[in-house]
Amino acid sequence: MLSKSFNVHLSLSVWLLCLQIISFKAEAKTLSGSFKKDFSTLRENLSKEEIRLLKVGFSLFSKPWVTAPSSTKRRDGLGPHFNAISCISCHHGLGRGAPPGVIQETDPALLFKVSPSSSLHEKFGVQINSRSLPNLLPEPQVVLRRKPQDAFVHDKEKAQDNAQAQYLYHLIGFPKQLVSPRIAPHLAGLGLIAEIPDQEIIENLKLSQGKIRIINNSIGRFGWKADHSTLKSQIAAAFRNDLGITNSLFPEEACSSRQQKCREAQSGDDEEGVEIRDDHLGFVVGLISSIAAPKKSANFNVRGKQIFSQISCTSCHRPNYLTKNNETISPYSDFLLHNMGKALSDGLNEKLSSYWKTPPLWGLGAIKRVNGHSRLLHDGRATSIEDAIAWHGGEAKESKNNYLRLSKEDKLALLSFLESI
Amino acid sequence: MYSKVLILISFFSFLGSPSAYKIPFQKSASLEQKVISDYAIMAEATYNDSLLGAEKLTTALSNLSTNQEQQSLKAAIGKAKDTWAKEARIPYGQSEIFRFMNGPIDFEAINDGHTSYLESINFESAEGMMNAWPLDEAYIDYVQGAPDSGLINDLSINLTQEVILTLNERDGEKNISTGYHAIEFLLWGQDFDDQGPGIRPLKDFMIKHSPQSARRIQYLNLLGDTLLDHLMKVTEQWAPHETNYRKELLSRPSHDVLSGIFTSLISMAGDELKSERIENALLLGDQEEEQSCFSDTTVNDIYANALGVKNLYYGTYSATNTNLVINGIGVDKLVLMVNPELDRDIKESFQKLFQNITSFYSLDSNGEPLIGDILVPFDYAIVNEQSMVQAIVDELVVLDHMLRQAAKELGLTIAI
Repeated sequence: MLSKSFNVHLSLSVWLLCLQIISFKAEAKTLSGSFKKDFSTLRENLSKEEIRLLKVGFSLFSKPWVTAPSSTKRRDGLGPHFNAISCISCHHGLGRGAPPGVIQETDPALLFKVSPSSSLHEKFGVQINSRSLPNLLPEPQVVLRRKPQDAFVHDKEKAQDNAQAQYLYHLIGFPKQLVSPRIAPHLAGLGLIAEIPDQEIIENLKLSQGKIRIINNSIGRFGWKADHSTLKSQIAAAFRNDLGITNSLFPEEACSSRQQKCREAQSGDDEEGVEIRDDHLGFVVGLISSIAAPKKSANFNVRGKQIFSQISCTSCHRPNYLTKNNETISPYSDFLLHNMGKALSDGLNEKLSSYWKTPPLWGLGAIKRVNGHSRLLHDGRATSIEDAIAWHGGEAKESKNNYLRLSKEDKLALLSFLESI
Repeated sequence: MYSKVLILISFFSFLGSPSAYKIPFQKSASLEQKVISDYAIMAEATYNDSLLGAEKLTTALSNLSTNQEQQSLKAAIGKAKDTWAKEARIPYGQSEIFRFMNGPIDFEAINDGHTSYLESINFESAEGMMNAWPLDEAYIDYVQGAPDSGLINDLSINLTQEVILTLNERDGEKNISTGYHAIEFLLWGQDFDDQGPGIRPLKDFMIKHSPQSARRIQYLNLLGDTLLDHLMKVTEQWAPHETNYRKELLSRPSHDVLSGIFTSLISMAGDELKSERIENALLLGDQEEEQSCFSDTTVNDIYANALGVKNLYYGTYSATNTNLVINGIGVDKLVLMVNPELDRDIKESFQKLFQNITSFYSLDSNGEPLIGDILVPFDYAIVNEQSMVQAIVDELVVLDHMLRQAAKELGLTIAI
């Protein structure tokens, strides 16, 4: 009698405990905004102080930067040349941007990098800033050459046709090999990627022909070509190059040697001689570091997961890591550079032109929810996950061909799995 | 028998623990519906009041060009400033509580497979063009250090409502040169005085002084008209029409709407007002990190935002521009049913919060605060009286915590 009652007691407490866990999980904190929160949920166990500071970071991330001089000294210094007026303009909901014409006709989320060795670099600097303060001439607008095609279908021949004639984005009048389009990726989980031990990435060298890119004596793990080894440097570069906000890491305005008016324009320098103070930049880094990984769906396609590994996708898109803080994360990347073949080559930098860092795949399925599109790859040329697979070449050619040989059911299972991670 | 007692004991021991689970309360569907319909009535009243305030403001602005003699111009400017700070801003500040649940004010289309009413009419939210902050001053007019900058000084641009709106967009990003704070900037000018607001020289409005002065008045009038248009679009969606946002809202499941209402209360109290509008100013350490930095009326913004939260909790609204008073059924009645002590604590917290906010105002002869009559400007306080600012923040933290608790006990879903 007594033991029975204890059982009841126990099961009741377990039940209540479960309820508490469920309600705790349901209350994960998110950033404020009308957007869907897949890419803007905060990591657990942040201290009150961390939350207080990341909110200032979010303010600097989402509020527009204004022309200097202004009354709001912490917020001025936009331009002289720039692509967008705030971080959130391209990373809507901390999510992924789309090329122009997908969500809005003109869209700052696609920008063009300039080849460092070309004469265009002298003229425009590291990237084309399509906008400028009113009294300056803006650099060329992003004009597109588009080849709209039907969305990819589950058909081998069509896949190959499509891969050669998809949406491609160019600056009209500029040689293709001198400018390279780049899209704004989603920002969820970057803080966790920063916490992957170097040794883990070095281990990945055994799994493929991938290469490590060393930046300032550290492993490059952020950016489309692993251009940055720290989040701070990635964010600081975006502030200077995309918004024209100078900072401790990039203290010079993005004016080329020939852009006299740009050089003479008023800057929004503060007491540190830059437009965003180092501690304020730190608030933004704190914000990005505090965003949780995109949430996996509880019901993933088991068959799809098996296939993903069977056809060797995992040799570059490595699923799991244990971070320095003992968190298991699943970004699906080896953070190495791979030769992806001619079709994806951007010709920008001789040595790296066909090399791309394996992009993390987590959050693939959420892009549609948060950003309303499914434009993938570094320049948004792919219109679906399948289309993105079809663009794989070079070191990934074998895996792509494996994919194309799958039955229709297996393809669907794999795609369904990818939507869930 | 023994086992039953034990279960009861164990159950009550849970109730007594800090993370106690209450017995699910008897849901009253009719009470919930009443709370939601009163929410809609309050939203309509608040936007109507904001609209009336904006109408008064456009009238005051149109009087600038017809009162060019020095004394009457001074009076006309004074009247416009006063109308902006009280009749226009106090209702609007209260209306900001109707953000945060994807209503007309900050609507955004969401790709979830369901087409909402606002999505079906391709409704475009105008919040960014009405209340954007910070303002791109040098984009509009001269500023210290840039005497020729801005649209007003570029005589080659013909100023029309359409031009302002297209220039405002800058590649789809709508937020720079229109709205309340653009009007504020043009009326007051930049503020470089830590004791008072900006003082724009009178000649800036004297048409005979320069073509720029005429353009400044013209720009102000265009801004007033634009603001009115935007407010009308939002207000229409809250009118008791056959098909509009309000109609759709009233047909949505109570759980969703009530979750939205609590999300709004928590977003405003614990995030927008506490962090974005007050605490960030302390953390970024700059005097002009304030919403209404030209007129030094940020205290009114804080007061009105907090009042919006209180209105929604109590189900009340007192109009600024008419005699309308609403005493509806607020969410407090729902909290009262599940946890009367919590409702009492929340109401005490509101009382403390308003004590802390009104300590920035002058007192009348009876010792009552004079709302709108600011004694300690916010920009002065964030540098010199930080404890006064911190007291508001601290109480908002308490309120945020209790509102979350209330939402939890009501079984609502809060994501923020």
